[in-house]
Amino acid sequence: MATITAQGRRIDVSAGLVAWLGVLAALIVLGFVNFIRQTVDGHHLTGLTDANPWGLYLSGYVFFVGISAGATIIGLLIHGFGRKDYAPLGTRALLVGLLSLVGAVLFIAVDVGSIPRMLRLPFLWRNETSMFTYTSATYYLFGLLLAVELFLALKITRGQASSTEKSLTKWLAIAIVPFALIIVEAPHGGIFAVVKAREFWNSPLLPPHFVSAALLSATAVMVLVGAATSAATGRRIVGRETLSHMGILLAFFIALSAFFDFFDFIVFSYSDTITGNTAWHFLSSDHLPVSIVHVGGYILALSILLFKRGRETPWLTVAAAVALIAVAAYRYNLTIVGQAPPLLPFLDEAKYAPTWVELSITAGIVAFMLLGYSVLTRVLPMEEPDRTLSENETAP
Amino acid sequence: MRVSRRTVLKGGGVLGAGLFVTRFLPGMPGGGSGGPAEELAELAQLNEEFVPTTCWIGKQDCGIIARKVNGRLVKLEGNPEHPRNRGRLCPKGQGQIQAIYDPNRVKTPLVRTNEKGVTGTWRQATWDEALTMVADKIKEIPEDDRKKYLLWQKGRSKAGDFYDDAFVKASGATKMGHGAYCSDAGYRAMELTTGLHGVLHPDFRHTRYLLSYGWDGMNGGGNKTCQITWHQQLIEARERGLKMVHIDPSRRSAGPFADEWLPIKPGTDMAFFLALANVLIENEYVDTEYLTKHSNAVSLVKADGTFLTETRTVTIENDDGEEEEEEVQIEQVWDAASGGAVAIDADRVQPALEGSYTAGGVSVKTAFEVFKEHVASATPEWAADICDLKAEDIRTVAMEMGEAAMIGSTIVMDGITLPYRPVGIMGYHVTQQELGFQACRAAALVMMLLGTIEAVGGQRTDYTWKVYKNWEPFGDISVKDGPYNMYLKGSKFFPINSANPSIAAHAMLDPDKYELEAVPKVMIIHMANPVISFPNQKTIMDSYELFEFIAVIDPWLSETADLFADVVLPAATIEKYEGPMSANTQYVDAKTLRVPPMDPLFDSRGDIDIYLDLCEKAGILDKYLDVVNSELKLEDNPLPLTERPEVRDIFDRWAKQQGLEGVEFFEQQGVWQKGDVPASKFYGYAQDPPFDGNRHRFYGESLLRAQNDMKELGAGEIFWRLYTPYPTWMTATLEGSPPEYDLYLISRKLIEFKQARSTFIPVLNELAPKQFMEMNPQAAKDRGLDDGDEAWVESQNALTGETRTVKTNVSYLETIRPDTVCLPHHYGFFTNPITKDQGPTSNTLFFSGEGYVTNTADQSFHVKVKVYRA
Amino acid sequence: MPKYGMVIDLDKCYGCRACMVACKIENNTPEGHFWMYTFRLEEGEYPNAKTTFLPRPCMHCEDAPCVRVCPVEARYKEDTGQTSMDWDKCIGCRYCEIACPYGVNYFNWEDPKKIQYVDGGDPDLQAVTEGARPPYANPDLDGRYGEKNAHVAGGNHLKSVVGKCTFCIHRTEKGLDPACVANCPAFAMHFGDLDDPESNVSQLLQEQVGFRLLEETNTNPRVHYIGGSPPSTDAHQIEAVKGKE
Ligand SMILES: Nc1nc2c(c(=O)[nH]1)N[C@H]1C(S)=C(S)[C@@H](COP(=O)(O)OP(=O)(O)OC[C@H]3O[C@@H](n4cnc5c(=O)[nH]c(N)nc54)[C@H](O)[C@@H]3O)O[C@H]1N2
Ligand SMILES: Nc1nc2c(c(=O)[nH]1)N[C@H]1C(S)=C(S)[C@@H](COP(=O)(O)OP(=O)(O)OC[C@H]3O[C@@H](n4cnc5c(=O)[nH]c(N)nc54)[C@H](O)[C@@H]3O)O[C@H]1N2
Ligand code: SF4
Ligand code: SF4
Ligand code: SF4
Ligand code: SF4
Ligand code: SF4
Ligand SMILES: [Mo]
Repeated sequence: MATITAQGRRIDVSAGLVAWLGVLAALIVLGFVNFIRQTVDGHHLTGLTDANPWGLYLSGYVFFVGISAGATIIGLLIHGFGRKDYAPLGTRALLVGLLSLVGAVLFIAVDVGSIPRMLRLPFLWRNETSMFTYTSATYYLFGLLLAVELFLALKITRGQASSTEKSLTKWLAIAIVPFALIIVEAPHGGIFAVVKAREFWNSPLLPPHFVSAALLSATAVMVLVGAATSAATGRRIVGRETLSHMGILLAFFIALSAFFDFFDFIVFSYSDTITGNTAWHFLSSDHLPVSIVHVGGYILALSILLFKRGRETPWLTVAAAVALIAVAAYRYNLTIVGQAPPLLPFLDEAKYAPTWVELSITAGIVAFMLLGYSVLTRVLPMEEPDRTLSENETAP
Repeated sequence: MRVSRRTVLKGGGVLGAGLFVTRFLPGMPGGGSGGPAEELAELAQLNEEFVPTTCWIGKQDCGIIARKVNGRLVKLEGNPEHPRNRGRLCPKGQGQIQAIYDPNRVKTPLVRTNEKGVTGTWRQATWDEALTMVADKIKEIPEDDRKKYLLWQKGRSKAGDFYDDAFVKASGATKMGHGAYCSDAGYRAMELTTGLHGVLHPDFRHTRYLLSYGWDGMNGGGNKTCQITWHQQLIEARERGLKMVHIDPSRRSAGPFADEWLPIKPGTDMAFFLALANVLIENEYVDTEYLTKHSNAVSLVKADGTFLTETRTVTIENDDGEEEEEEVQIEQVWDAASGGAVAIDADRVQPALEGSYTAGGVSVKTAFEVFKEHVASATPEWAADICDLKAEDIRTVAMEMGEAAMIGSTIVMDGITLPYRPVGIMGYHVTQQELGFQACRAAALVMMLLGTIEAVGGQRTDYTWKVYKNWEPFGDISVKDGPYNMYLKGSKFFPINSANPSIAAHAMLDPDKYELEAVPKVMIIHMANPVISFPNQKTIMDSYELFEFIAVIDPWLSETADLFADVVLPAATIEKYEGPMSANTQYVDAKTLRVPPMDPLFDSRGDIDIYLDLCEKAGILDKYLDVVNSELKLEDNPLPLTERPEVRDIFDRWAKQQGLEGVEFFEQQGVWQKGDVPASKFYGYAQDPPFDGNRHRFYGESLLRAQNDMKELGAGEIFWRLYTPYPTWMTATLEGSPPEYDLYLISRKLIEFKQARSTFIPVLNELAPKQFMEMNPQAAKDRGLDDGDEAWVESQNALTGETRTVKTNVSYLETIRPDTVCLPHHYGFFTNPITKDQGPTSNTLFFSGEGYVTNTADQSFHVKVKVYRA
Repeated sequence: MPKYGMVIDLDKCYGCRACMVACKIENNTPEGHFWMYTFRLEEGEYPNAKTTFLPRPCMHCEDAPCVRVCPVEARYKEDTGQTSMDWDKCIGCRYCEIACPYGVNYFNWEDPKKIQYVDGGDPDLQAVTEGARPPYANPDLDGRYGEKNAHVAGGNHLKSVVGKCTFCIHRTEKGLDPACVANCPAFAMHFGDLDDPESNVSQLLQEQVGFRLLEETNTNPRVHYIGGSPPSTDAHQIEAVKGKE
């Protein structure tokens, strides 16, 4: 156990932390090496093919954009709904949001053929009818807004914020939510929804579905953040009642997403176009395991959350983890199964399985986000120092 | 068309592709194309050239325009002036540019440094050394013995004047070709029956009903051509309303073009045709005029099957030009007018086509009467059983053909009134089955009944009217006692003989049994890859072990060369003068030459150059040039016999002899259009007298006489049983395999490849990268085989009990009979890295020798197999 | 300005795949890329089974989904109706591949120079071809074409960009038919100005009722089929070309 000092704050560095950071760093290095290989050799090192041109990277991308956008609701809860009990999560949510956005952009970067060319988007090159032009523009804005909000939040946690800054923070926290959900997240559904060649995607329900899944994943992440922080600091940062509230929110978002899933499935199982019945691809042998994780995860998480004890630790943490995995499965399935039905009736189902290059690059990006979070939450002040604990925050 | 122009391409950026490579680092943005100044600097002047030449892969020598930029070949496109391909090329024609630039070509002469029979190790040699080695081997054999000891083995070669004729004659070698594997059974059947050199194709411009008899129109060539020509004619015919009925165990070969498909059981076509004849006769769809006037159907046949003849003394001119008296037998016919038997050529004779008579105390029947009796029991029901078809389908086809033939109708062509019989058959490689010679004859007999032979819209054999040199000898087939030459020519085993290398292999391996005069010692293999192309692979290989010396002339290291060559001489591919070649489509006559679009790559040489050099070294150049002079008919300006000419000069003389300005004509135009073939040169009926006065051999009496001679000399039944005057149904040898060999194996071509000479072309290889066995899904499932599964295929020789096994992948095909599997040709290679591990050749499985050849020594591509999971 | 379109006569096509090879040699496309692909299909069960063929280039859709989704306008419609792709601009996001209902886009998963069939690295060969890769590399493809005077021809340029049939813009600008059309041995393919009622293609479409692939997606393809019928859902591929995987 060592102690280092950063910005006048003392940080305890345990052996566990060192090991954790070491593992993350190793994953990052591995991912980076494979990224270089992929760049030099080409994307044939991935499992992607012309029949299935989007894969794990794309699902990672939409998954983390979702978390990023969804994480803004913590600010809304605090500042819009006056749930001060969420305050200890506020800065962390912003950090989660920003890191997820960076991660999401990294996923896109490792997916495209040319990063330098991609960076011209949308400044030099843009096509207004492309969802990608639109989303790329929003990342810059969203990232900027998140950064400003984080900057202000950090000022607050350092106790250096003026009252104008405080009220600016408040309004920003509220205003960023519709921006994140409608301007940033919904168009990600749009990326898929506008593709009429892929029947399963081509639905106006997809953007709202994406929003609900984003909220679901972000809530689950914040539950986990809470749990992780408790574990790291040895105290609850949010109280029992807040947890229970998050459990209810989580349950609600799961139910909403499941509702979308259900009707998607019903509607598409009636579809009978030239390529046959899209919905059933979810149940085909290639995709069934992921579908089970997706649907089974929702059911399991929801079942846990229905019980009062399920909305308390440790069950809530379990439910959140299960829900998060289920959303990841949803994002993956949506991306992959959406490409599975053959374009022309006599073609075979498109097949895809990520290669270890993709897996390692994915792991590297995730590790990068976790590393960023692990370090920054320790280096930066996450909570107001003079904050008094509410009574439901006391140790269990 | 050799247009040389300097082209400035639009907008720059046209420098060598190399520039672009360095400009774009991986993942870096492009747009490095710079500003206008840079672009101006990049403006490159391209020296563009178009050279006409011909496809060197296929056998119809399609016209090509080679596009060259700065001396480099960039693309081969069809020459619109070439009537056979009209500006178009098949996939091979397009893809061969990769073969030209194949770094795996043999780059210099090679001399073997290890033992034979295994993969070769080589050292590079100079042309001088390598040619001297081969020439010395030729010289070692005394001239008179060369027929016995020197074998020249060719494959699907071109420019026969230079190779088959000049070299073979000059060297005194024995020549063997690929014909016995190709379609020679059909050639022999037609040469014997109508005297024409070819198998079967219709007069597409006028045919309205086509029986596609194992014609692989989608992949292979059909009669004589390689690919494109017939297909273009078929499409146009279909637009005019042609109906096509496809008789084939597999429908793949007709694609969407078959209006009807009769999935016949392999090897049973003869029964099918006999049944057609049965229905036609029963329904009086018989062109009695043709049969009476132009066939021997009227000849009187005695009880022993031979003709009733009269002896006549005729004066003939002998070889020395002197007149000589000779006795000949003249067939007799029943003269209805006089009520007696008279010579077939008697004045004002009115031969009876039908009936039984007694002439001079001998009971006789007309040959046609014999045929009626012969096919009386060959009812559609009978054939349906054998062919596994529906009797009513056979009957329908016969009735439709009978109707479509419009017997009695005429049409005026080029001012000549000719019979109009718009029904024809297309068939070629399909004749390579044990009963193939007779099956082809049966097909011809059906066409004769309908009177469509050489009628407008009817049955054709050759491109134009020409009686082939075998017509006469086949009237009196000579069967001699041994010893025999290496392929048993004129023997009691195969008196009509197609010079089959596998038969030679069997004979070499058992010289006593086949009464061989001598086992050959030296072989030159030219444009052939027998180890891959010729069944049975093992027999061929065993016999090649017996040669003392083998030289191979080939642009690539063929498998045959790899295993058995002592010396390999690298030939050029398209980059050589070669020819002259016909560009006839049957309707348009044209001639072409292969013109090199560039110098021979690496240290290769054009084939003709190789032969000239070899002959010079072997001291036979004068003889060689002498034959070239006479084959090319260089009467006005013959090649001096003492001096080795430039190949271009030879063609220059030839072109001038044709009345053209010289070889430049071909270097500029590519094709010499001689114009439409007039009816008078096209239709046998348009000759005066029709068919040059020949009576077609409806009744194959000479076959029966040959059979009698063979029996007399003690040949076994397996050899003589198919020497019957009429095609007579008999169970094929392969049916004797034990019942567990429950499938028929057949073979076919793939459009992507040409025999053994294009599988290594990467762009084609990519289209069909692995051998596959087409199998009906039901049959496969019954054996637990899924699409793509690996399976063993085991063939069995019904006579010797030998088995052969290969492993391949099952490929489901609904359009193939459930009792039949098909392994395409073109696989089983191993020397070119691109063709490694592509799966087996079916020629490992097919057997050669007795039971698996026709009576005319033509290879069968049928065998019984069993298939089981690997 | 002509508005180019293609008419493919399925009554003539015999599935020979010469168009595929002609395209590959002309456009120097990498291994596994088939800007033109001829499907060989089977329908029904023995003995009532039949074979059909269906050549498929890029449809050069009038309302091209690929153009709409391309974020950088690397995809665009030419005045002449062609759907062009500037390989110098493409970021390799493969959104076009996702959006195209016809599966005609091919991403350069590897350096196309490395997967150009013949080993151009052979020193003996280099000596005669000056290192061109492939040895028969078509210099026209490096030029700029179309209304944007951009790099839109050929398929052998860059790793990590998409390629697809260009309707042989480098040939059409010279007044030549596309390579596949010019070579079809069956004369099954026709190319011309669909706006001109007198053109070969317009005439054919007036004479015969054609169809287009996946009409229901409203992409308004510029490739029309006559003869034959739209592929049925019972059809399955035989002799599929898997390409490089
Ligand atoms: N299983 C099976 N076997 C078959 C057939 C089948 O359908 N199925 N078909 C049969 C038929 S129809 C035939 S005709 C035969 C053909 O059998 P072959 O004549 O043996 O085959 P090719 O492929 O024509 O010729 C092969 C050799 O010629 C070489 N070659 C090519 N061009 C040149 C050249 O310009 N000069 C020289 N010197 N050499 C050259 C090639 O490199 C190759 O090694 O195969 C028969 N074999
Ligand atoms: N692409 C390409 N074209 C070629 C060639 C090539 O190698 N590739 N080779 C050229 C040469 S040398 C030749 S000889 C010609 C050959 O041209 P074709 O004779 O047209 O072609 P193959 O593919 O040999 O034909 C074999 C056909 O016979 C059928 N068949 C097999 N057994 C039987 C049977 O018992 N009865 C009936 N009725 N049908 C049967 C098969 O199913 C197949 O359709 O093609 C020429 N054209
Ligand atoms: S392979 Fe045959 S059909 Fe094809 S281009 Fe050559 S000669 Fe013509
Ligand atoms: S080249 Fe012509 S006939 Fe051959 S597959 Fe293509 S479209 Fe069909
Ligand atoms: S076929 Fe596909 S790639 Fe071609 S224009 Fe249409 S959408 Fe674009
Ligand atoms: S891959 Fe290239 S052409 Fe396709 S959408 Fe992306 S940028 Fe446009
Ligand atoms: S038009 Fe040109 S690019 Fe398109 S498929 Fe045909 S040959 Fe290929
Ligand atoms: Mo042949």
